[in-house]
Amino acid sequence: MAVSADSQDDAFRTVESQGLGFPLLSDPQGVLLRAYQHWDERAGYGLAGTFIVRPDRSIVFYERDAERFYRRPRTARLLEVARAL
Amino acid sequence: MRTPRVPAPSRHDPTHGPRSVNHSANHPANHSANEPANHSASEPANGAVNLARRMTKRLTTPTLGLALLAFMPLMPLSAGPIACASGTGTPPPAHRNNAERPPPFALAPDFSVPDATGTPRDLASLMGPKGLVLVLYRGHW
Repeated sequence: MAVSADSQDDAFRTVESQGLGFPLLSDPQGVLLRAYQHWDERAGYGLAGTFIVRPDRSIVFYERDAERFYRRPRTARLLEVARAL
Repeated sequence: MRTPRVPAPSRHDPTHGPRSVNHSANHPANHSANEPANHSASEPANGAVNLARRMTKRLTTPTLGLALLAFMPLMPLSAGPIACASGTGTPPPAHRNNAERPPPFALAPDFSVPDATGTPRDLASLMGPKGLVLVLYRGHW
């Protein structure tokens, strides 16, 4: 799944335009993004990052890109970790 | 429609500070790697100019081309710091520019947030049999 502070309409447009097959969450108030410590209070939007979570909610992988969102994603490393689950 | 989302300096993110130093540390390496090429390149340039003096006007254009070629090794010198600053230069080795780090909490916090269709989703409902890849992105696509 993925989440940003985009409005629900914008999230829906992203799902349509990108043909996404996974849930895309809309968090304009920063509920999830604050809880995950990826919220820019001053700007009011989310900071880029990726978590891979085990079913027991333990975190097996975390990367924080924050404002360096343009450098993402490192898919090879993500797939390596996800396939090892 | 939407508020402009201009990238803020990364110093606003307190967890960034020590990591961002890595990029500027690469500059001296880039310079030292390029400097020898500049010295050797200036000799063909002089040779080309001397050759041009002895040749007819018809050779002016090719000589200019040679001179431009001779200055080309200078370009990485000016482009290097820009590439390092923007992070869009040559892809670095996997161990550099790595944002992977220890998680900020031991257990993923639960949440209830609507998806693109308005359906509330929480951590348990999104969790697969092997786990969940949770991508937090900037948005504004």
